[in-house]
Amino acid sequence: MPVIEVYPERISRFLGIEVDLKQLVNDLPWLATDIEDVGENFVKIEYNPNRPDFSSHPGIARAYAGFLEIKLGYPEINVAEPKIDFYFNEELKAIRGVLCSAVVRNIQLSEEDLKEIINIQEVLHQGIGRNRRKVSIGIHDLDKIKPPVYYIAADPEKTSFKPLGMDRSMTLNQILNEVDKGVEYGHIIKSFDKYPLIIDSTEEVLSFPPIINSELTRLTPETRNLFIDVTALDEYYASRALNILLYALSDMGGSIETVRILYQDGSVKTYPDFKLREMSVEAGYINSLLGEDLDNTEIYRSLLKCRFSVRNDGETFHVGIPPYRVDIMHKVDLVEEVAIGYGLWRLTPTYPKSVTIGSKHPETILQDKVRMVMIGLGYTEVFNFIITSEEKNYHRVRRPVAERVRLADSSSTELTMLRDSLLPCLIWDLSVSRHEKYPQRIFETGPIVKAEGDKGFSIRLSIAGVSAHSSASFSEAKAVVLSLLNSLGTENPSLEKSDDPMFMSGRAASIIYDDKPIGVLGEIHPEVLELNGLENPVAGFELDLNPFLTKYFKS
Amino acid sequence: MSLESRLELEILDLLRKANRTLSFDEICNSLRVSESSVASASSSLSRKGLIELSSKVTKYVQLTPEGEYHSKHGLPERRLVKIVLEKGGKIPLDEAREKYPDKSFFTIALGWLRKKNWGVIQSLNGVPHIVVEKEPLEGVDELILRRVSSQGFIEQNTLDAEGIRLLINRGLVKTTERAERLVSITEAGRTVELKIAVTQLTPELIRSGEWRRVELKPYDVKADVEPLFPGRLHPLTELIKEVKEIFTEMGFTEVKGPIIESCFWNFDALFTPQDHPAREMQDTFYLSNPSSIELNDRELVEKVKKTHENGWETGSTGWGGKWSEDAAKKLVLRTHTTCVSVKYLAEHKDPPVKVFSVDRVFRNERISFKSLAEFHQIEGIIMDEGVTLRDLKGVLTQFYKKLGLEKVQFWPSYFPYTEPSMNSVVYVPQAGRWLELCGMGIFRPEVTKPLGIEHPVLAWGGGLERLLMLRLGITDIRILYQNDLGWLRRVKPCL
Repeated sequence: MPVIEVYPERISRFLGIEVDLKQLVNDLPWLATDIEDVGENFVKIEYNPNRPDFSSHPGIARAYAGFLEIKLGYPEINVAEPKIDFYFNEELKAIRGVLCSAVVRNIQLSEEDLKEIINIQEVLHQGIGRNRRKVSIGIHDLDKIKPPVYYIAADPEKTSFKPLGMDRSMTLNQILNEVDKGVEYGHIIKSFDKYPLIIDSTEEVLSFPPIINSELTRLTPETRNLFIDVTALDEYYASRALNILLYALSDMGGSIETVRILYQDGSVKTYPDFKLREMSVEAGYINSLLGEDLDNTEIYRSLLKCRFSVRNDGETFHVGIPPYRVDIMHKVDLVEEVAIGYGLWRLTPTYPKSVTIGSKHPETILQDKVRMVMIGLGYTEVFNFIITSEEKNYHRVRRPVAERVRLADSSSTELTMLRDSLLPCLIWDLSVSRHEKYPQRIFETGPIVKAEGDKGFSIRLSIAGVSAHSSASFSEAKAVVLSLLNSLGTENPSLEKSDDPMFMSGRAASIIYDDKPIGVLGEIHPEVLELNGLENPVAGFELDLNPFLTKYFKS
Repeated sequence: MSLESRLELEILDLLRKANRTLSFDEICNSLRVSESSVASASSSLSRKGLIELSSKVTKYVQLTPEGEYHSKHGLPERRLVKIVLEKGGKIPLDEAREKYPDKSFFTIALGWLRKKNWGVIQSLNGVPHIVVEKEPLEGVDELILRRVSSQGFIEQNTLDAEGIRLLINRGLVKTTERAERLVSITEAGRTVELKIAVTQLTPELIRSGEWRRVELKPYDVKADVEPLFPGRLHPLTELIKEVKEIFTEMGFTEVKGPIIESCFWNFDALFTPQDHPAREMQDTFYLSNPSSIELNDRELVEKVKKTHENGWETGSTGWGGKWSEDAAKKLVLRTHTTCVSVKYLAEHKDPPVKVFSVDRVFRNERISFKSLAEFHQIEGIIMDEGVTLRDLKGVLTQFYKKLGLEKVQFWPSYFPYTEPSMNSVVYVPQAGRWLELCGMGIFRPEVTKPLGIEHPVLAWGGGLERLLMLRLGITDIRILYQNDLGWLRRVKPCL
């Protein structure tokens, strides 16, 4: 989740009144943020990804002003008529087909403002921009540009410009291969024959979205006018991203000016789109979810505190959603806004009325039963990961690699597959505990996963135990299994010779129940002991618990 | 004062009855035990001051090989007398020599016959004869010879000194010296209670009733003992059991589901957009074998698709864009247990439904001291007519209270599938600090409506391990799954 360091002086600047650190620490959690850390002169908060407008001090101050009731309702911004045209080339439709733009004039950016703008841009890129794939933003010094501006599809080899931070001109392909940002984000456009490019009327390059801007239009402390481009795959999120940035720039003192996008079919769109989205919600709906009995005035005021425009029509509230909010999808989202505006701490706890009878799952009951038996037999319980590796699950226990459920991402050689048996885990655990006093007796009960024909996999509930000491033997393992089965109400399971290579030949048995093998027991093969650095004999068993589940819990 | 063995007791008993000093030999003979046993028991008794040990040197008489020979056949002179008497008391010397069975002793025999005055040499008709008047009585030397022969060893001073001297001079007996160990009882020995001290009460002692005559040695109650390690539950199980019991006490039913789930149930049914970062490989484990599963409930798939794309009939805007069924078919290791809960709700639509799970979930995270790729999630769900956000606060307050967490705070928060959403922090007294535990909220209509759930669903969930770490006072989460037996044997109980 994104984090931001919030400084009281800077919040105070956008708020218009003085607040101190203590007050911020106290109040900010009520805006659905988490206090991460409190420094000497700042508080570090974590905010939720559905509120990218919290990526800057002006954004936080805007919400906070409502909470403090300094400013209520929708924060309106005046927008000037368009002076600049932006031409959209049809070829881009298949590559990166959404374009938004705006101009900000007469702004004086402090060093802190500049840093903050870069942060907003980064947060938007990562969050709603999905790492620039869905949305990316370029901010330019307008005075370095000769309008009109063109959004074109460019040849990767024949086009070159000097990218931001470089001292030479490079082709688009060179940028993808040699510049850090190119390497990082190149995958977004690499599959296309032509790449998106933004140029001005003198064919100077402004930007190579979503990769990098040009050095030419770099922002400096002297920059007074900004040109902003947003290229995207989705119009809704592109225009919201632009709005979030523009609201912050407006709060920093800039004047917003519209840009006209001209398409080849003759159609025209203008941005930014600051039109309020309308949604309505009923008082009854709000109260039924919160469990409160709020009157209309209370609801009205709560919504204004969250900076919405509100029109009240009897039961129904018609709510205008500010253009920088991306998280209001359903009227239920407005219910939460009411709760936040009203104050969540004011909702006192109640308890549901229905009477219900609780119960544990049969698997839990069975597992608890076998756990008690194993403890009675002197075994200590262990917990292993279900994700394992071929090395642990097969090689270290002499078992041949079999059909198994594998993970797609095997960046770690230790996490490649799901265990199909518990015994290998227990052998691993013994090797971890070599220094500890013997006898050692450990057990585990839990799921194992077998690859299986058509269904692909089956998950079984298993139990396994191992006993390691100088006289561990087949007889010991057999006695343990018999007493365990006995406690599960099974009198005489039959045993047959097993050829499981994990065990010593002639000292291992399959456990047969209802004419089906349900487990194995015996003396672990000395080669397995050697492979795991074990110097004591080990006797062990593993047993499928599913037959007992169906036996005892038919319902 | 106590006796350490049965033999010690018997020796004391013997001494008391004999009322005199006894030798080891005597004790050995009486008790039919070896000398070494008597020696060790006696030295133990002597250390306790119950007896005194002394020794005495005694001269013994035993036969020489020649003495052995003569004791069998009689002294040479006795054999000569017999020959003479057989001939009526007179026999010519030469004839006697002729008849004597052992020629080498004849001269000796003749010498001693005369020396002992048993007979004389007389010349009859010019022929020297041996003349014996009558059979002489057994001499003292012969008596000694007989006794020594029958007993082997005889203490010298019990025999006639003259006879011994005679026999020694003739080379028929010799004397030897033996040091003898003697045991005499002390006053303490006479009065001590005759009980044996034993360290272990045995079935033999109980069966024979012997325990009455023994004394069980007292223990040093402060002495160290070998530590004992009983079989025990893993701390995770202890806490899981506790949480499950709390849920059942509060009337919740436990539900379980597979650890492998389709993206459809893990994400799409929970209205998580298909391009959400949590769905990427860096965060979620996808399977490669098998990699996907067919979605059979066509009607439901269609509803979920529309809800994502445009909100369907839920009143939502949806996420926009195209929803891909292929993406939904992919198999993942479940990232939460909420997929289990919604599946259950889809099949149990009549209120009230109160279910819970405490189960394994998976996140593709780098394993470190604070994060694991596998851990346990606690989850509770209430679906009922008219349940509210205030109810959720109330249920959580009760739930925490039962976990011993009395101080709770709620804050607004955000989760993709709940609205309104809250976060809670609890004060953990065992650790003396606040912990962010469960997130919660009411399921969004975009989640419930496509599944046909008509009433509000309260949901909360949180990580089990974080609470366990604070309870156990550990700072590295990995130790919980390391299975180091040393740690498992000694870790404090999860209270």
